[in-house]
Amino acid sequence: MNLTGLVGIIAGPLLGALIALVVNIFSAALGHGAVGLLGANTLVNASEAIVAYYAFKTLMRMDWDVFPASASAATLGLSARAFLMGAIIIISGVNGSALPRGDLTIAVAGLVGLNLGVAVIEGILTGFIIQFLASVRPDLVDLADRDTQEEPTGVTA
Amino acid sequence: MQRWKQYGGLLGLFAAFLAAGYWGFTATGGALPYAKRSAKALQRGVQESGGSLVDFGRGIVVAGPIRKGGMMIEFAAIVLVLVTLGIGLYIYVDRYSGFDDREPPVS
Repeated sequence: MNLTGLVGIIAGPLLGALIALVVNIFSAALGHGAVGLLGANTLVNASEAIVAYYAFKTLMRMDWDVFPASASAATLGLSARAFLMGAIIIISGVNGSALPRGDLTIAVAGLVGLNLGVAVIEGILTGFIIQFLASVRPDLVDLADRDTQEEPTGVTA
Repeated sequence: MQRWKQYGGLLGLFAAFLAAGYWGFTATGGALPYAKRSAKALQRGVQESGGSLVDFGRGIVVAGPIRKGGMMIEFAAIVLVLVTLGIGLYIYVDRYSGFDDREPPVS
């Protein structure tokens, strides 16, 4: 769980991919991941940011509320990332594993499924965070022109 | 779009993903730390599930370096700070930014 979907929604697809690269370089430096996996990890994280961004924009254009739109977008981004991760592992194979490709596919499908379950938690968190940002700084999520606050009705002093 | 459709769609998405997550959880070995789970799944394929989804006897699994390095108190303090910050932000938004019908504060 690294909230890359949130990054994608706020920073956009290009900056989001760049941020994924920088974060992965730092992670590799700290021993979380490896320099040899930098490309694959960046690809996986960037896909999450890109899918989350475009899903959020599409849902907002369909006039969804901020919370369901951002929670759905982040969850969809995470699912795209999980499937891409699984595809990379299956295509490249696993060092030291004697599993045939078919069994490896089934094994990886279990891990992808597990990631989908975790995606729900991150989706809810992202929804709350984006809703908070949209209420205090709507310009950060490109909602400045959208009416996120109830207009006071009637005559005001 | 109508609000019930939005939240209905969101709940449908969550339900499908949670079902996939539960299947993945049991298919890859049940209650296991993530690294062991990956190793087990990738080296030997999907096994019969073992361990329950909720196992209170297992306790809360905290990453080895934190647990073994004797930093549980610091870890708990960080969790507490983040929880407090989160609740504080929620209350702040609820009071001052107005998703409700109250009149916004005069600036």
